[in-house]
Amino acid sequence: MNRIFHFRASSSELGPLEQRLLEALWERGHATVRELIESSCGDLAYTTVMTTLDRLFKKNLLNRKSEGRAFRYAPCFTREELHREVAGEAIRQLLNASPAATVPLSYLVEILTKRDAQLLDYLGELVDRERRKLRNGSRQKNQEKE
Amino acid sequence: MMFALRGIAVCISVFVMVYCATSIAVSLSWRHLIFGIRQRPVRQVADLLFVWRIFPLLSAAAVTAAFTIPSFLLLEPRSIHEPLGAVPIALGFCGAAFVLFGAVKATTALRRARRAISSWTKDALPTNAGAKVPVLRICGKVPPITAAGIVRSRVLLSSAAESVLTANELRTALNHELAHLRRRDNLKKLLLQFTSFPGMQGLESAWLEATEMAADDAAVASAPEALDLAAALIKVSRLAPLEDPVELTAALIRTRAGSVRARVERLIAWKDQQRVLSTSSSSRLTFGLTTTLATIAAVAMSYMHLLIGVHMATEWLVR
Repeated sequence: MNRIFHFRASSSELGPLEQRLLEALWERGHATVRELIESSCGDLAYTTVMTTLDRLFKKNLLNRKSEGRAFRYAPCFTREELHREVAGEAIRQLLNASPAATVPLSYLVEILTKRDAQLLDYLGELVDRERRKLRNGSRQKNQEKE
Repeated sequence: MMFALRGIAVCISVFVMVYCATSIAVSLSWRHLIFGIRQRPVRQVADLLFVWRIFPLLSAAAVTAAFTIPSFLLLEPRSIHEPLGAVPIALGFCGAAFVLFGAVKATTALRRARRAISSWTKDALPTNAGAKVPVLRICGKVPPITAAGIVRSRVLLSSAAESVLTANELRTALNHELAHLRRRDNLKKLLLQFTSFPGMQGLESAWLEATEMAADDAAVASAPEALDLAAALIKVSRLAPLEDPVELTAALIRTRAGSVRARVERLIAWKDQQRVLSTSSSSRLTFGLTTTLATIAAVAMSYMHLLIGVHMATEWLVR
């Protein structure tokens, strides 16, 4: 998986425009600048899209082949592969931050546990809200019948 | 003797070749299959994914039994002493290695599951749950609720889970586990252990996820029941530790809270229609049956020609 990213970790952070164009290419599979502008990026200038795609190509996130006078761009990796690599990079940085590997790992477990608890709280609230809604709905129906 | 040896080597060789080719095809194509069937009821999705996962075994067995063995028995002259080539010997060893690896993996998983179940049920007591299979109350905190066993099925319920769940939540959670047992999910998991092949993990995870959702659907019959099961999932998630689930068992919660989210959100948005199969499923079934019958008829009509073709191919293989 390391072969995927030959760009530095700092450059792996994508700007909103880069993310948007990457998303558009994941949706379409491949496209030229003009095709992107005609389909989903009509609000952007031709040169903006061209420069951003070129930047993504230089970051090794896109492949391109010439098609007449333009380039056809395609993502090098799937969305899942990119997300996995970004998460992996973050974890690697976390592990490198401390000489004792167990310390950041314990932080990681702590964060995950806290996040899980928060998620479960949120889901619990959703269930309670739906239960209340159902109860109110059936009460209203009963009142209407009476 | 040489005839029999040659026959065995040819059959194993064909089996291995078909098995490997279809396994590679399945491991490369399952994402497309999921994309194509994602609108179908989740129970059908789970069944189709399982069939697709074991398709290499089924197709290899079918080709070997229906074509290779008959073509060899009917068309191979018994008198000649044809030596065995290097290819069938190598493929024969390859096939034996596959079977051995699968058997070892399945046996190890069975042993591990048996050991885990016997430690869980050491001081277990039967409960009065009124289910068709025994429901045992176990003393430990883990596993909170699990369907265990392949031949002797039972549901294990921890006293911790029993104490945190309300009566309705407990009933739907037990229904979920009973659905796993009805669908023989633990037996299917054993079959997957036996037929393991590189690159199938993604498909197996997708199948496991679909079986959980299918069991969720089978466990509830109305929106309030769906909310009861959702609440049970959340409460049991809080009890479940960060451990890998034991193989060949079906726990109510298999993985971290993150993966429970999809199930809970699905249950919150539960509709009565989820239980009902799509109306076009009967026409699809008719279409499938017709296609199968037509294929069988076509194969039967040209069976002798096919056998001759297979025999010629195996002759080339033996040399």
